[in-house]
Amino acid sequence: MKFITSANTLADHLYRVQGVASAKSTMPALSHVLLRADGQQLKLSATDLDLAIEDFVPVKVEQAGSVALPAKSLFEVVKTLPPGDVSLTLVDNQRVEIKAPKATFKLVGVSAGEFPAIPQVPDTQSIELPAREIARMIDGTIFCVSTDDARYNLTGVYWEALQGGKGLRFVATDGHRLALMERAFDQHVTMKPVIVPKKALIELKRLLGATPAEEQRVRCAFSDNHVVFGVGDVKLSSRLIEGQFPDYEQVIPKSAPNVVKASRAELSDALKRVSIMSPDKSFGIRLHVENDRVRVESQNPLLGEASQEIDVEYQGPAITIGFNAHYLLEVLSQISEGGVRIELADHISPALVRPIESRDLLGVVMPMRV
Amino acid sequence: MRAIIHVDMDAFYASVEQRDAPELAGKPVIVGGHPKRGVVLAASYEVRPFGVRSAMPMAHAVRLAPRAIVVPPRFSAYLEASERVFAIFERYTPEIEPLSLDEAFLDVTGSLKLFGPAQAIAARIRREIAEEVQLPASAGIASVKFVAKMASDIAKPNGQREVRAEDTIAFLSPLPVSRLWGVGPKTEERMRTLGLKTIGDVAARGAKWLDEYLGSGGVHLWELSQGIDARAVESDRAAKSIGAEDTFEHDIAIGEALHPYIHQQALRVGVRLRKHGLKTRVVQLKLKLADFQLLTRRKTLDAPTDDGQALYQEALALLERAPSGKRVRLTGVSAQDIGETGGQVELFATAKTLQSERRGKLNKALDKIAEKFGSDAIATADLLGARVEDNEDDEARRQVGAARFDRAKE
Repeated sequence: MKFITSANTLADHLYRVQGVASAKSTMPALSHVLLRADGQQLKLSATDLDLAIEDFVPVKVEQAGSVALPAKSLFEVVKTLPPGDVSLTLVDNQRVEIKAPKATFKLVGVSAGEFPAIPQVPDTQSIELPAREIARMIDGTIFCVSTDDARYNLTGVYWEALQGGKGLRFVATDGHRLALMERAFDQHVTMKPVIVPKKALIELKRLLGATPAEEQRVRCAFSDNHVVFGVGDVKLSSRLIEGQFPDYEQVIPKSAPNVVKASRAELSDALKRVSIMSPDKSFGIRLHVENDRVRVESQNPLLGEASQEIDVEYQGPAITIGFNAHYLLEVLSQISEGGVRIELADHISPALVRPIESRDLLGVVMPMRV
Repeated sequence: MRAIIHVDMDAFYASVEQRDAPELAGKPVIVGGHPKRGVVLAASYEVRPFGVRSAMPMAHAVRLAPRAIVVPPRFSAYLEASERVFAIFERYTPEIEPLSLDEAFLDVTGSLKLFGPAQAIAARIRREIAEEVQLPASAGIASVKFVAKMASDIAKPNGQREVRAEDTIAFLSPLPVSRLWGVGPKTEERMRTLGLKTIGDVAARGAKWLDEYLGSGGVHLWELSQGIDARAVESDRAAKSIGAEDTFEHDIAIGEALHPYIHQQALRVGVRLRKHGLKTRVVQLKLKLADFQLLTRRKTLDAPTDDGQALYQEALALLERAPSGKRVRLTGVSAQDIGETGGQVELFATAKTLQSERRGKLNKALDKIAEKFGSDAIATADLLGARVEDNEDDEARRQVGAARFDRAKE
């Protein structure tokens, strides 16, 4: 195998692929990226067996062939090369010589045969969705995904078509809080509800970049237990999470009577400050809401205590309610600007958090007993 | 230098029975299960000269000591006595590391100014246990944990022994190597072939020699022979895990016979978790097999708990996975990965969360009852003693039952 390409181009493509390779696997090939040079292109593949990615790089192939190289090291090497052409040549024994002007590396790989076959998923249901909206919906929900393997069905984001196929809804929860976002699309969305693993969405976000172009599209094809995302030439396929997503609609309060309207920035600052004094692991704080005021308080028997007041809009009965400060801060960080509306019932019922000016996002946070 | 006391109750279960039924005092008493199928759980000092030991089959024990009085176990009574004993420890130091129901290390270094020398503290603790709980206890006093434990072993029954730092080597020297922590039958055999019979033999060889012949474990044994033991007394507060375990003097086959032990250990862990406002995510069952092989099985729970009954159910499931038929000399239940409870409310009120909420309320009530009337006041049926299960030809059992009934009437 031998090919020549621009170092910058190769680095860009390796960046997209290397996140899928798993560093901690017992199977060494899984921390590698497979390079296959053929015709006028180089195909890059990586997989952790649940998630797989394939990308194509335009290169000048001098000799067709393939080899698997350690993903992280290859990316580190290529991204530090000076701009210009780079050649990769399989020399001997799965060793690859990487040659740039004035710099040479030799990287030890494994034979392409040791790399697991990536399952090809049939495109049974395929839809094209606006990339910018999908990226926003991932950001707005992924922070609520559970990291607890014991609650496997909560370790991904639930995707569900809106009624009549008018759009898409994302829901994520870890059992203590929940985030929901929905968007209406021009095209019709038909799909069975699915749970997409967190890692697949992180890698999809990597492919989309921070702010995808207005016209960019993501192709989504679902089969019974897989999803394939297509972004340009890149194909990202993931196993779906099996299991039942909980009946989330029943835990979203239909109407909580007591509405607090606050500045997002002020509330967020107060929470950050006061939570410094909250107990180590729980980040427990108390909100005391009364008469156009919120007092944020915390207490750590080993450290001390803190309290801060902010002006809000509130005319309901006095309520004292405890929360994990992080849960509130994370949902607030997804509200880009302006005011936040918090709807409360009592000290043990869920709080509904959303922006005042839009219906962009809906957060539900369960209180803590204090 | 630390001042460490190891307190160990004497023939604990049997002593509780003798205390609660005065007609048993001074008599050979065996606490045990079914006379034909069960094992000896404890043997009073009066029956030990006949060769009766804990965990030997009951049938065998009854043959050795045909006149011994056999009493069914009442775990709840032992738990209650244990808690009262530990409450006495707490008067003298917060640094308490429970080893089992009837055994603990106390670091009294910080208490010497308040209560006088460790020797005097040990004497006071033993006197208070005798007066308030009416049970005999022995104590060992030393500057390191394992020497304190050996000293209490030697002081038994109903005695205490102090080993000063400067006397440690002389104290250890004549003792057999099997007394050292970490020396099981296999290592003991290896050591004997190397000519190491007493701890003094170990001390006489250099660390280098032991390293060469016994590996890195050999260095540790040499350190112990010199009275070097860096382990601190670990109290619950600082601990990363909370556990309860008991060693049987003889072995019990894996199976139902272990259930009451594991149940009671799980409940003890639950009580201690709640006392410190902690919950656990990981339950661990520990079994030490007859050949000293250590088996641990652990399970991560869906949600953190401080409920002893829930821990028991998980531990039983773990026991199912243990090789049945093997015999064990120790069982232990522990809560790993413990943390503050926090009181986070769950979003999804599943049957499980509702149940755990109800459990929480129940445990709160049980803890209150136990605090007020002692943990003997309320217990689950399996720990209360097998009084209902079989009314067969067991004279002693009936006698004891009657004696208890009389006391209850008073």
